[in-house]
Amino acid sequence: MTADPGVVLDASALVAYAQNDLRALPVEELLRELREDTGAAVHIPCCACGDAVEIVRDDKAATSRLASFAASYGVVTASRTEHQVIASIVAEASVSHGLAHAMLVAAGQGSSLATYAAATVLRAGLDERLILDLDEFFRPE
Amino acid sequence: MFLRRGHGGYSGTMRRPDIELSDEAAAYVERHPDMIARLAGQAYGATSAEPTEAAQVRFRGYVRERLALAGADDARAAGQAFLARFAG
Repeated sequence: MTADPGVVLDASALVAYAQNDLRALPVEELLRELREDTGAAVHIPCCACGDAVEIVRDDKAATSRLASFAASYGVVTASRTEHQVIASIVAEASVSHGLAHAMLVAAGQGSSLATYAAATVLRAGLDERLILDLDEFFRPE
Repeated sequence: MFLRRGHGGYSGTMRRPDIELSDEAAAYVERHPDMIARLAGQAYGATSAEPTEAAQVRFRGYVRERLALAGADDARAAGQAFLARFAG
């Protein structure tokens, strides 16, 4: 076992947090758990952040909340080689650049990928053990 | 006012309604708003914007479980295998 590799947030999680509605609750709960218990790091891939910025572009409050969030945790950039891998994932798995980058970061360091698109991520081939399904918060017991 | 099914298609200038209900379904919705609210609550797993303590505790347990799974050596190896499919 290696050091705690933390959690990666994809665009679906970032948008939910930024829009601050019911779907933000699991993200906030996740962050609280990381802060108070596990101490795990939060990773925001730059491509996922870019996707999220585009999605909330017309919502000033969400844009501002997203910007503050990204500033507080920092954004993971991609090297030229990583951009090539991202392009391959996009081409083969038909996912967005943001989701491809989030999968790359999660797979590369053994992090949990927190997402509302768990089915898509699984279909793209990422191992189920690396997926943290935010919808789990809403599933009845 | 409820939108009805079965009155022909929509022309290019008409906005297609988001929801179409039969007369029977529309009347039922009108009479049973509590039922609709309950079904909506089930869909979200909550009946209000405030999370229940049980939901929070359960989700936090789920988070810890997922972090432990992702941090295991075999999961990391699976991640590397995933990347190897797309590299070079």
